[in-house]
Amino acid sequence: MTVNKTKKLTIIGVFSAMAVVLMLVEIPIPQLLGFKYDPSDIAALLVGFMIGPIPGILTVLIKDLLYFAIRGTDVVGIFMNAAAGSMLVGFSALFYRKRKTKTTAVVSLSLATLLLVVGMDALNMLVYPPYLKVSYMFIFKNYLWVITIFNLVKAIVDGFVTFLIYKKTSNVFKLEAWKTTNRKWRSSEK
Amino acid sequence: MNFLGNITIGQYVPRDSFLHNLDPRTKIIFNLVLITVVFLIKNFYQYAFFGGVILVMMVLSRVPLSHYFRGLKALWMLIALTVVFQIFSGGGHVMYSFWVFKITDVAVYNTVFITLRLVFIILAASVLTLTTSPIRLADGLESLMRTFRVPKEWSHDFSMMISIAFRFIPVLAIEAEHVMRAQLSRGARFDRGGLIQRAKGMIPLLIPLFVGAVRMADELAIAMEARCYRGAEGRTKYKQLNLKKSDCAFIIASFAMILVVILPL
Repeated sequence: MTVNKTKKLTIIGVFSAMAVVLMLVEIPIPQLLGFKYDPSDIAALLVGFMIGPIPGILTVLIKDLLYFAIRGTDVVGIFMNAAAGSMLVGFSALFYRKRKTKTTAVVSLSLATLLLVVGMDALNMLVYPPYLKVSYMFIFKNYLWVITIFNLVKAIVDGFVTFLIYKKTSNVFKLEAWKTTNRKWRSSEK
Repeated sequence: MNFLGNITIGQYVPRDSFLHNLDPRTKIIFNLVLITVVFLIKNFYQYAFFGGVILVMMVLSRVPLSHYFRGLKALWMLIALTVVFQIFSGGGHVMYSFWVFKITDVAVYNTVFITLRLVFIILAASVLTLTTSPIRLADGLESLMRTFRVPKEWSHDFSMMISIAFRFIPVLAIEAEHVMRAQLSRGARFDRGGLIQRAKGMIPLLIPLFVGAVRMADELAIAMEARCYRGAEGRTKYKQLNLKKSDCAFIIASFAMILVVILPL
């Protein structure tokens, strides 16, 4: 199915706006100090599944840029969020694009979850010791489990919800795309 | 969950000041340099210098200082966490101890050092976001991308998407509010139970929202094509960005800041 370029542009734009709105929801997880869950990656995952990996990653980047512009939070946190989102969305969309079945969706989401957890652990180990000037061992012993659990929970919830709502959203998307690409749609509709 | 209340706290404060009138590209470059430089700071003299620089910026922006402190207050958790990390990190002579906790002089030094770094970075980012509207920021990014030889098509698309997204945030926030009220009146629950329960509770909220978003995007695409939108080619701007003398001076000054850190003092 081909989608024209303007359509891609508007989908990415509107879905990043959706992601920003969802990012402001911020459900705090009291067990993991300071971390807040936000469902914004779901919107990016949907774009990734509907159009492709690059638009999905673009959605994540625009979301983080706009969130930074309207909230002005710390730069490193935003950067980490963007990295996590791009990993999850990019990998799962890339994997799902080859064969679009329910099984591949589940497999790609689980693999992307694993990649996200491992990748974010590595990235946190790389970034935080020099940033906060603590020893690598200290982060490794006291902090890494919080990061691991947080990313695991986040990715699982995002993947789970995306899996449940993807089909319903993409059906509408396909219908609308079909209407705009097929100029004769009126005659074929009852 | 309250969608609308969160949106109205946008950062940008419209004023007529030196910083507001600067080109967004200048401010982005200044910010990037400043944040990089803050990471490289080695002693407290340099901190004093950059503290002065940021203070001058805050005064020049003519935005009430309370706005800056609001930004800091939103991140108190991160700052508190950092302090807790640092204060017990040990090393050097013990200054104070009770039970198993020991506070040493090196740890106190590190705590002050890192907290200042964090505060400076947050303040520097606030200077940018308080004085530049997101649309100007997108324009600045687009033209910076073009300076770094990113194809015109890509940079145009990127800033177009940012503009669309920015324009749709309030619309979608209102939509989210409506859908939430509608589902609440049908007996849906959003803020009860554990994480899985909540994730499931989000589904009746998310499906209508995303379907609505797809429809909106589609209508927007049709409206744009009806007005002959065809990407970057042949498109001109209403507000041109051009660098003035003050911008050039500012950029040179911001690169001069690197010298302060690199030169041994």
